Amino acid sequence: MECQYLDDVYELFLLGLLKPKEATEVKEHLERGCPYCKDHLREAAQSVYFLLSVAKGRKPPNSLKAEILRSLHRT
Amino acid sequence: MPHEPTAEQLLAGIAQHDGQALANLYDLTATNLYGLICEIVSDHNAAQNILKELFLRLWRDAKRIEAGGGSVIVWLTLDARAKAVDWQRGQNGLRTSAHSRLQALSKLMSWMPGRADMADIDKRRHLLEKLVHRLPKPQTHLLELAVLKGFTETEIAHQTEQPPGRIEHELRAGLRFLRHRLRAVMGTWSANI
Ligand SMILES: [Zn+2]
Repeated sequence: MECQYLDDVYELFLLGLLKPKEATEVKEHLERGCPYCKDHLREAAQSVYFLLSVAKGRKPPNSLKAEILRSLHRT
Repeated sequence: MPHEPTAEQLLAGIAQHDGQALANLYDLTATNLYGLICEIVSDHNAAQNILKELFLRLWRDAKRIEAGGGSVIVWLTLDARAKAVDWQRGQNGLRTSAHSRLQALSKLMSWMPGRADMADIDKRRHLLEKLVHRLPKPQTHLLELAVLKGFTETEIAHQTEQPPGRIEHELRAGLRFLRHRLRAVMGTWSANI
């Protein structure tokens, strides 16, 4: 499979951390609907999600929820 | 006792503009999301704004997100990270493109992990957390700089005064370690790693 050379960049691509030129190459490749890369991007998303979900939870102030709910019908 | 609705059931309600469904999804996710945003941005007012905007975007885009078929929790997490990274980078006078790049990507195709994938991760979470602690310290630090702070390999090399090639190698090795362990853990219930 020719796109195995992309194996190490899916996470960085997903995080927006590839150099613009490299990111464009990956994006153009993905736009051709490569199933190998789609699977690997999904796997990278799991990895990244896991890393992000290790962060310690913190309770937002109670007033924030009410503020969001009040704003709903103005959007 | 009735079953708690899942995040995806709540998303379906939000897509129909059910405010109670949004309130319930907020209750389910806000503590984790706010914790993540506060890890990334230094200002609590900004963190609250980011969380608020996130739920307002969800309200507007719920139909499209639902049609994509991916896990709404992953969408919220990636979106929160991208917005927080952009805010913090903007404060530091750096280029901000994390969110626009993520949006472009989300239109590309249905690569988002589904609800079943995420349930698998959550079931194996304690095992995965043990694995992250096995990463060498310098790699853990690099992952934090890239994933949480949104620094590029070139920026990290500049800050740490190390050759860019070395940073690239170490960061990608850290991501590879995690990817391979994740594969092992997701592949077998009783993986002895
Ligand atoms: Zn491919």
